[in-house]
Amino acid sequence: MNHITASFSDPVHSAQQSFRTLLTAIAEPGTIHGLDQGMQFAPLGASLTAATLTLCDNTTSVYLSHALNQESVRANLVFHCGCTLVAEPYLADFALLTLAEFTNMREFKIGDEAQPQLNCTFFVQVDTFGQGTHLHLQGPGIQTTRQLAIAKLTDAQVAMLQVNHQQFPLGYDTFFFSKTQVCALARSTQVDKEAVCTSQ
Amino acid sequence: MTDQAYNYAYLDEQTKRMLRRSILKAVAIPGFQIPFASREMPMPYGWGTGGMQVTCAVIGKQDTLKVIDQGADDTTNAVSIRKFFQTLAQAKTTEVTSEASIIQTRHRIPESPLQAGQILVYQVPIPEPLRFIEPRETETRLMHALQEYGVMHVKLYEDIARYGHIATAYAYPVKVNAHYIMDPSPIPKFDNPKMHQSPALQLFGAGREKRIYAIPPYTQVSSLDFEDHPFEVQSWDEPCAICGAQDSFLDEVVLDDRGTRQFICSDTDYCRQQQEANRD
Repeated sequence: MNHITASFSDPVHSAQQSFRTLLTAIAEPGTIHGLDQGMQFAPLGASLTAATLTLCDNTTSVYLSHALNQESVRANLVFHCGCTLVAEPYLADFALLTLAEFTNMREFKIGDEAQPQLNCTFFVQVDTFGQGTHLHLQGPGIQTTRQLAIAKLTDAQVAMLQVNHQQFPLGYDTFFFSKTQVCALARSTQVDKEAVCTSQ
Repeated sequence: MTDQAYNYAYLDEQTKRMLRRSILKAVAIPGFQIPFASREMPMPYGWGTGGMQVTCAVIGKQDTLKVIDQGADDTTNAVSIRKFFQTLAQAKTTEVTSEASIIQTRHRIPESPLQAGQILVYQVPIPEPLRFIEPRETETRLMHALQEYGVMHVKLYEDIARYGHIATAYAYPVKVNAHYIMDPSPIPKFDNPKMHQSPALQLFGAGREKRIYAIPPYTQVSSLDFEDHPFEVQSWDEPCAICGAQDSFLDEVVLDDRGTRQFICSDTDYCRQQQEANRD
């Protein structure tokens, strides 16, 4: 029990504020929003911790990647969220990963054409935004195009996100978390490394 | 009394998390109906329990809420729901479209253009646009999976064959993000063009039918039509009898039992704005 640390100081309103941040992030993919409720379950950052507390409970299964699968995280998630921790990727509703471990989406459940909502949602912890390759985003929630840079995002990961978009309406939605910021890419978001001409 | 008896925004936190997960999925798959575990609300199904649950999951202390019913802020449904959130979420409320951060609506989209950052919550009675053609949920789900939407055009064509024009005037089906066909709730087709590339986030809640769906901001929303019968909205021969607006959706008001009638704005806030502008 030594690992248990404090949860939201104001559970109702902290969860509501965090949710609205996540909602804006997924409704406007590629926009970066501050998310910090002043607590964290290290090594999860403040933003990733807030998102997990906001959405996970005893009806959701959570997968922890190797780097995040530490006693401090396990104990706090089970105590505060009551969620089931699963070792098998295909059972997870939410997968918590570090960016380096974000390599194989297809291990996780994707739903089917009649029920594309039954996919796993990725929570990926990153170092920072604004550095690295500039991605050009298009799709719902983006008026024309939007640029996003995630530090240390590899070409292989960009290719994985492109394949993810191509199978719409199937696919995965990914929230990226730096320590105190969040940004999302929905499955409906088209990701390109070069600027794409939008004139028709 | 009530602030101690109920959780903030009425629903318990577990229910809100369930709603919030569904809303995030709905936004990620524009136009697709996400099943959710709808709760019983302290009013009957059909009075906006779906929209109310969505608002309960979304609303916070920083929000300003506007509630409209057929465009009006002062009708029974709107007044009741507004009071509900005043009491149970200590919500600031407004009747001015531009001042609201959340607008819960039954059967209209406000005339004043919506802005980025606003959330429009629709109350939806029948979320399935194919329901009157195919009553089985198992089949309609498959039809969406296969994008088997030809029958929807057949229905509109039958209108043309019978009446010479598309007679569907409300709940006019739309295609969202060039993929799913969606019921825009029973808004008049006059409002359909406002959904296209709207800067506001649009959330739809159907309580009895247990479905949530969404349109993110700046999303393509096209009303179904034919090349030789393009989509058209209603128009009126006379302006609003109160404010003189010629660009708003008008309600017909019967004045006596001798056939006298008047047309007035359905959007009470827009009508007030026009009257104030006329006065200046």
